[in-house]
Amino acid sequence: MSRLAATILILMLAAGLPSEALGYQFELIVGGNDSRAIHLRVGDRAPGDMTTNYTDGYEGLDGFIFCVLLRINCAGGSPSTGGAVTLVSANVPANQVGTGAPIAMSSNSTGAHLDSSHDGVSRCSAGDVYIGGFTRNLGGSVAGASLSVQAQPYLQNGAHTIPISEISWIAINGGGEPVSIASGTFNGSLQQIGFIPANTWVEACMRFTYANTQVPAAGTYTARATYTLALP
Amino acid sequence: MGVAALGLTAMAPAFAESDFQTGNGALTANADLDFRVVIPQFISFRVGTAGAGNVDLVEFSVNAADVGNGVAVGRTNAGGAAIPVALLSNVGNVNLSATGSGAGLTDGVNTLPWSVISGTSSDAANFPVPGIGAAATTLIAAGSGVINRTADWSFQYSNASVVGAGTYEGTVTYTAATP
Amino acid sequence: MTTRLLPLLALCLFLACPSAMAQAVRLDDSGTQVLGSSLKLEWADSIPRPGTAQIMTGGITVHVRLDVRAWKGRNVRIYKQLEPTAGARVLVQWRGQGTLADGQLREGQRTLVYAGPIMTDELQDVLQLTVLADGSRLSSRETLRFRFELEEAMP
Repeated sequence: MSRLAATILILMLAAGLPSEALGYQFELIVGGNDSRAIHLRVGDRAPGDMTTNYTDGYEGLDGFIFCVLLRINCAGGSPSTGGAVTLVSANVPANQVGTGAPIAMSSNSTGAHLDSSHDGVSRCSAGDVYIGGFTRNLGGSVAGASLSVQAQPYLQNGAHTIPISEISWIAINGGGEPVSIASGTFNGSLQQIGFIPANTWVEACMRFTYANTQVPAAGTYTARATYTLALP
Repeated sequence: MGVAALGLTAMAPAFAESDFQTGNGALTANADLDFRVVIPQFISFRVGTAGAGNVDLVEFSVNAADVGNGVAVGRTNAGGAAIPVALLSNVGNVNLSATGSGAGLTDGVNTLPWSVISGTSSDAANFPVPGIGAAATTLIAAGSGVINRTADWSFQYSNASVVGAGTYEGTVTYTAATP
Repeated sequence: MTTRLLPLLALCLFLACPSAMAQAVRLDDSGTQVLGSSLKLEWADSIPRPGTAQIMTGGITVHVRLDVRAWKGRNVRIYKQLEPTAGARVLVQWRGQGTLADGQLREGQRTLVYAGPIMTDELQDVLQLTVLADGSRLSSRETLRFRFELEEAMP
């Protein structure tokens, strides 16, 4: 090949080959203290959440423009931690003790404590208990958070006890959506009752019943159940 | 009955109703729910036929040839059946007692003292027949504070002496009460 | 020899040289500096609310330097391109100091950032980039790759 042809060939090759050194790049990494978040509310709202719902200002086209795009005029805020423990109780009539006739239990939640703190929808009936929460994570290998409950094995009145299995609940959804929290009966061990997928909000109402199959000594019997939302 | 305090046995602190957690690793949020069941005091005591207002009759009809011969006479009506009794209570120990009407069984002229009537129980150890007019008998509750017992009570007329002819009547009231 | 070389030369001219037929040429931006090698993303909203359920966001500064000496005195169009990602869905917005046009890109797209004559050997600008990413389709690490292409404007 002549020198001219070789030069032309080199020029052709040089013009056709892309340079891997051209262009700039940077990595996207998830960082900061707020890369993941979870929220759980069982029963009453925290005092800091009484006057707003988390989606206040975010609804509709105006909400999308101002809150999502312009980040102004958004009243929702973030959930608070706190609030008194809600009480669910039953008074068994004297002539029904131990007859097996179920006794409906009733919570001391009232007003806004029965409503969704996500969007303010009046979700639960008087006597029911609100349960709701969300997860914030990237998804992928961690699809979301599991919701579980563990109650003390007995209701207790001094030395006298009633098995916690006397208390059961149904999960209902005042908004009419499918219920994603399971109904069940306490058994004193850790019981998984639901799953909240990544970046979603789940809520329901719980309605409790005392089975009344036992004849216990007279008195006031108490127990506590702890609900846990866990994001691995 | 005093209301017991919320003396829960768990030593862990309570979790508030609302919990919000952020971070980079595994996260957990907790919320507690308290439960309370109030069981009132009650005593359910039945002697004979169930139902309010039912008062069973235990009759002793003595044959003329046997009056006052000292041989006790058992119930002669209702086929001589024993009286079923039941006690269900949650108040702890219970006192059983029996009180007879007036001074005894009477025909309007003469009176037979209540001591001529005696009873035996199919479960004397746990559910004896209280003596009429005697001091109360205490039934001891189990550790649970609950008494749940049944038995059959049978009664006899002593027929120990000759008494005037007639129909002698009276009512015995059995009582179960907290000591 | 000259007779055989003429077609070859014509082919060379067509392939190697900037032509009047608006073929895109990748620009040398090796002088460009990204201030920081990575961009930290955070949730645009701490909780999943309508319209914000999946958005993560972050910012980074890029000092762009484009070698355009080969087109001095010519009218050109310069495009900025974001290469396709491994799976992430992103929207990159930027604001500059006036040399390059402000704009935005999704993955796999390109957009015009300069149109006009080249009067200098180098075009420079400082761009403030904002990245909006769909957090539900984002792995813990993704790389965004940008490049610049030039087309010579039709006379």
